[in-house]
Amino acid sequence: MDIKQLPNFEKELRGMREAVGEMLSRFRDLHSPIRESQARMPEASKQLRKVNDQTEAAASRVLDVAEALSDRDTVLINKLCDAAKIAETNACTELAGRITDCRELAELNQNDSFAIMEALQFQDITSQQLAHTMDLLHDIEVRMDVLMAMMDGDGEASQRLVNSDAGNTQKSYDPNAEFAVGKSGQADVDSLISSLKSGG
Amino acid sequence: MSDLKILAVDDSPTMRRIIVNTLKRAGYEDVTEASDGKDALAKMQIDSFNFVITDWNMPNMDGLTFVNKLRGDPQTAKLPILMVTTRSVKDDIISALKAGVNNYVVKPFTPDTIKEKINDVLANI
Repeated sequence: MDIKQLPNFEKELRGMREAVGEMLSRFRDLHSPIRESQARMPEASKQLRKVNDQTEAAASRVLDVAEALSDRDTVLINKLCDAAKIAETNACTELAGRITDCRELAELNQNDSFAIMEALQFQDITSQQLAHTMDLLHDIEVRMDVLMAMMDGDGEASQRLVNSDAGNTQKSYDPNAEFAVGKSGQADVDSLISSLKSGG
Repeated sequence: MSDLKILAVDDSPTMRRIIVNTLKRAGYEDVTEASDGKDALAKMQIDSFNFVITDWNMPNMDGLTFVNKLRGDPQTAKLPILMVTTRSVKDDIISALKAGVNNYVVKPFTPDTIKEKINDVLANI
């Protein structure tokens, strides 16, 4: 039987052509917004890199100050120790007590300086989180590029995605880095290591 | 003060300074810094160390590759190594121990943890 003799064949065919035409038109409408979004991706990555550089610089500055405070505290603590000894030698008990109080305060200040340095570990962790975000943005950019190329009729576009994934295996960051892991995490690590070492 | 000569390997300059400060506070004054495994191996060519503290995720050469290289060299096969990293997944810890690290510290760490783990490693070699 000749297919052209089917009832409504021409009408169906015309309908299909219109549907395909409509789909192509919608693809074309999508084309510009996708291209614009893709063009913004490198800018987003650049901004994130700037955030990372600036927090690194700020962390470094805070470290400078905390180190300077700690060094001055060391000098102060030593001088107050000497002063307390002199006061005791000269039987100035009350003065020696007050000097010791001051030394204890200086020691507390020094401990706080070290606590500030310790807290600055956030920089390493957030920089790894930002590196992960930049990598994700790059991945989206590549996928959008491939999508655009496929919409433009480039049959080999999907191969670029495969090539891009293949070159993306070595990461110099931990995608799961978290500041909160710290103390509770160390206890879990210790318990795992001792169970592994004892053959568990 | 300790006579331990430590090589601290981390790609984050802030982290290296924090580690150096933590070690100095714990009485370890002789600390050399390296920015990744490759840099660390280069520094080990010109100087000798008796303790290594290394991060895992680093560019050029990561901590695990670095540890494998050290363990593969008869001269550094028994060098004490403490891994200090954000990676706290069980499989990662197992991989690090298999590669030959002597102990493992998860970031963010406290000075007491670093001190305790160094003492622990030194007591068990």
